[in-house]
Parts: sequence; C-alpha cells; structure tokens
Amino acid sequence: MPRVASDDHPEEAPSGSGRRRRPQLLWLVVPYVLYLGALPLVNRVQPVVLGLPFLFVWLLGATLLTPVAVWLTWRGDHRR
Amino acid sequence: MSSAAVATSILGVFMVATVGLGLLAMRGRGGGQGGLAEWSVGGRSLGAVFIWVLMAGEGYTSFSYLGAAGWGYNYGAPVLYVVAYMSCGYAVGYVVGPMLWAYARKHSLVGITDMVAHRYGKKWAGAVVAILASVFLLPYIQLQITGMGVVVSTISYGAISLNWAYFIGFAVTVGFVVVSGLRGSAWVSVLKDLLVILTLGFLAVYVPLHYFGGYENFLDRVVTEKAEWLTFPGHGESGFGQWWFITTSFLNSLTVVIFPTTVAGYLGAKSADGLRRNAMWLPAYNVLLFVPMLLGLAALFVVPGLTGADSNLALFKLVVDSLPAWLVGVVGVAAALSSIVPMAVFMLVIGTMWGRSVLGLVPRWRGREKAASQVVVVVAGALALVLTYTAPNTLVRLSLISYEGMAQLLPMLLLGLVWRKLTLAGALSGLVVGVGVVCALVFTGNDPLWGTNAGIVALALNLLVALGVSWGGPAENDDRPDDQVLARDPLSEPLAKGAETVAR
Repeated sequence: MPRVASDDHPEEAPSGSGRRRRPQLLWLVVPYVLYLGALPLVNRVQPVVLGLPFLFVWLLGATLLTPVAVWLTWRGDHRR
Repeated sequence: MSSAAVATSILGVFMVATVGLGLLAMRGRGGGQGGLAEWSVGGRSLGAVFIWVLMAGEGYTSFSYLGAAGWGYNYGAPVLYVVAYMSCGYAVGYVVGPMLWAYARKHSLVGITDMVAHRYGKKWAGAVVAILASVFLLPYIQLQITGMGVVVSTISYGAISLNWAYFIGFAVTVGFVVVSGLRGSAWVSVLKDLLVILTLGFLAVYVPLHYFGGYENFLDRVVTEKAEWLTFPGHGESGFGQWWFITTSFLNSLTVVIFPTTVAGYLGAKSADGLRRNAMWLPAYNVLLFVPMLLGLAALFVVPGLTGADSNLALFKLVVDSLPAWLVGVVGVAAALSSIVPMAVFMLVIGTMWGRSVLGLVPRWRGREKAASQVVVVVAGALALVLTYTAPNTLVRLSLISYEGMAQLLPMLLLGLVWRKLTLAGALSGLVVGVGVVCALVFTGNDPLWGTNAGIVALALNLLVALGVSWGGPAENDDRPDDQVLARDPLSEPLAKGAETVAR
C-alpha cells in the first residue's frame, strides 16, 4: 500500500526523525480563520439574512463548515 | 395541586429515579465493594457509546443551558465564544486526542496527572498538577451548583429559597456521585441528553410563537430594537469586545483538549480513529448552542431588568411564565440533570486524580484509596458550595475562571509531551508565574485586561518563563530515550521497518 510520500518537499521533512508529513492538517486551521480571523470583517448586523443578523449567519455557517474541514483532514489521513 | 407542588413533585420523582438509576448501574459490578477503578473509570470497561455520551454531555451542562441564555441576555454576541472555542477545540482534538490516547495506552496512564508524572519522571509533579487542577475545577463545580439552585428555586415558584436550593443541588449530586460512580453517570447522561435536546428544541419553536407570533416578528424586533446585542462588544460596558472574543476562544480551544474531564473521555476511547471520527462530527452539534442564546434575547423582551448573577434566571423566568406546571417540571428535570451529571463527572475526576497521584504517595492511605477519594470528593463539593454562598457569580464568568487557570498547565503538559528540552524546573517556574498572574488579575477585577483575556496574558508569561528557565536553568539528567518520554500522534509515527519492506 503506498503511503503519503515525503519526497516531494524533502526540505520540509523534520531532519532525521522520518516523521510522516501530513499537509492535510492545515484544514484544521479553517475553523480558526472562520471564527477568529474573519471576525473584524463580519462584526455587523446588516445585511440581515432570513431575519438573522449577519454576524449570527456567519458564525452559524462557520459551525456548519467546521465538520467539513475536519472531514477533509480525515480524508487526507485515510487516503494512502 | 398548586403549580409549585406539581413542578416540584416531578423534579423530586426524577431526582430519586436518578439516584436509583445510579445504584442500578452499579449492581452486579461489586456494588459498594468495587475498587477505586470501578468507581472512578467504570472499571475501564465503558463502551465507546457511553464514553461518547459522557463527552458530548459535557457540552450541554447548565453552563450552556442556563449560562448561555444569561449572558445572551446580559451582553448578547460575546456569549458566542462558546460555539467558537468548542468548534476550534474539536479541530485541535483531532490531533491531540489520539496523541494523548496513544501515550496513555503505551505507558498505562489514566489522566493528565499521570502523564506529567511520567513525562518528568517525578511522582510529586503529578501530585502538584492534581492539586492545581482540582482547584481550577472548583469554579466549574460551583457553576453547576449555582445552575441547579436556580432550577430548584425557580420551579418551586420561589417556595424553596435560592440558598436552600444550592444546598439541595450539592446534596443530591454528592449522594449520586458517591453511590454511582462513572458508570452511573454515563447511564443518567443518556437520559439527560435526550431531555435537554427535546426541551431545547421545543423551547426554540414555542417561545417565539407564544410571545411574538412567530420567528419573523421575533427576529425583526430583535434586529430593530436590540441591535446593540447583536455585534461586539455587545450590550453595556461589557469589556467583551472582538479582541476579547478572539483571545478567549483561542485560549479555551487549546485548554479544552487538556481539560481533565475531556482527557478522561479520550482515554476511554477504544481506538485513536474513533476519536478522530468524533472530532469530525461533534462540532455539528454546536448548532444547538445558538438556541439558549436566542432564548436569552427573547427574555429581554419578556422579563426585562434582570442584572448581574440574576441573569442566570433569564431562561427559567420565560419557562415559568409561559408553560403549564407539568412542563415546567420537565424542563426543570432536564436542566437539573444537566447540572448533576457533569458535576458528578468533575468530582469523579478530582477523586481519581487524588486517588492516583496524591493519596498514593502517602503510605498510610495505600489500599484505602477509594474511601479517601470519596472523602476528597465530598470536601471538594463542600468547598464549591461555600464559594457559591460567599462569591456568587454568573455561570459564564465561573467557566471563564476555570479555563483561565487550567490553561496554565498547557506548557507543562502539551509542550512538554512534544518537546524534550522543556525541563521540569522550567515547566514549574512557568506554571507558578502563570497561576500567580491569573489569580492576581482575576481577583483584582482586571479580567479582561485591556480587552484581552487574562488567561492568555498569563499563559504568554508562563511560556516565556518556562522557555527561559529550560534554556538557562540547570540541565536535567534523565537518560530515558525520547520515545519513552514524548508523545506522538500515531498517524505521524514513521511506519515500522517491517511494514515498509512489505509495502515495497
């Protein structure tokens, strides 16, 4: 079974440890970007979507997208 | 029968049933004769489903049920940090959970105190962590006692005063935890989750219909009349602005993965992949957390004028005002159980930490750890009760203090497990500074400090000191190889030599 190759970017592999690289872990940063990084841009009531103030719509969306982000990591881990 | 009598009887019957269920769970398991392990970690035989129920259940404590409504009422948007940190925390848990799980399995450890003792090769380091972690769990137990008190007092329609209600909450929970242990908690947790989800779902539909004639009108009035609540920094001179939200959510999302109760859940899992799967779909559950906050906003229109810790009552004032007595009783049961079960788990974790890491160090107590742990549990509960009377606070405030303190263990535990050069002297110096700064800031009323979460200020200093002392301080002579001391996510391990040759 082929495993995730660490040969494509050998300079990024930790020296000597032979640790497997898992670039898919970057997906786990997505919730931080959505909830925290984007906050200054979405801290507003307008536009109101389906009666909900915009900040709530955004955070609700982030809550629904977090499982997707974690799933993408999981998929990356299981595809080898 | 009067309304108070109906609602209180329903609650009473369920409380008796709860303790009964706890006793039943222990039958055939040696009952009172079972050892510390049976009582505290369910004999390590709890199935994945029960462990999951316990872990998910901790997301729905009276903190989210009543506290979120209370803060939604007081401040509005800032309370959404709960959703943010839980979601981010699950993402971090995807990596940290399997790492801690594998570490504990490899070295037969049962909690964070064990891990610290093993990592630094010193039993007393585990004892220090056990004592500190217990102290920082006290506000969380106080939170549950406060929540339970609010419920009992409100659904008796005031017949039971808040002060008596706190005591009843304490007594029921301590009784429950001593007789039933973790297995009983897991059983009751199933009942609790069902009731919480059903009642929250019901209230989410019923309250806007009953008071506002539907969602459209409710949301419309919120947006036009209460816009101040809908963005940061929220209502009033809260001090909980955007930067506070960002720092707090960040700190809590890291802390939640080492919270002793979370770790207890991790270690109970059957496989590392089970934990990853949980991390994948548990965040979707957080959608439910928006409901209590909306109800808090609804309460603004219906029961205006609650201030300070009284805002804890916001949700129940609505319930009592709009529902028939028997339904008030049912909602009360859901809320009461959402205090009892988590409180029981917190107390059990304290009991286990002491049984393993503190009491075991005293030769005279060896062999009597279970009884001694139960004494510790009762003492911890009593201390939290005293705090409830002497330093009442909003539920969310209590949770924040708990997390800010527990966060100070992050360098010692998490950094220590992945970075060998962190010395015990460094980790301890950092911990002392971090805890000192948190206490100083919280007790002088300087949290948040310049709009920043006090815990993260303390954590930064903690980390600086830990790194400084590790580099400049005395070297350690621990000659164990790295892979005996450090932890790794099993997926990041290099494949075994044999497996590699097979693959090729």
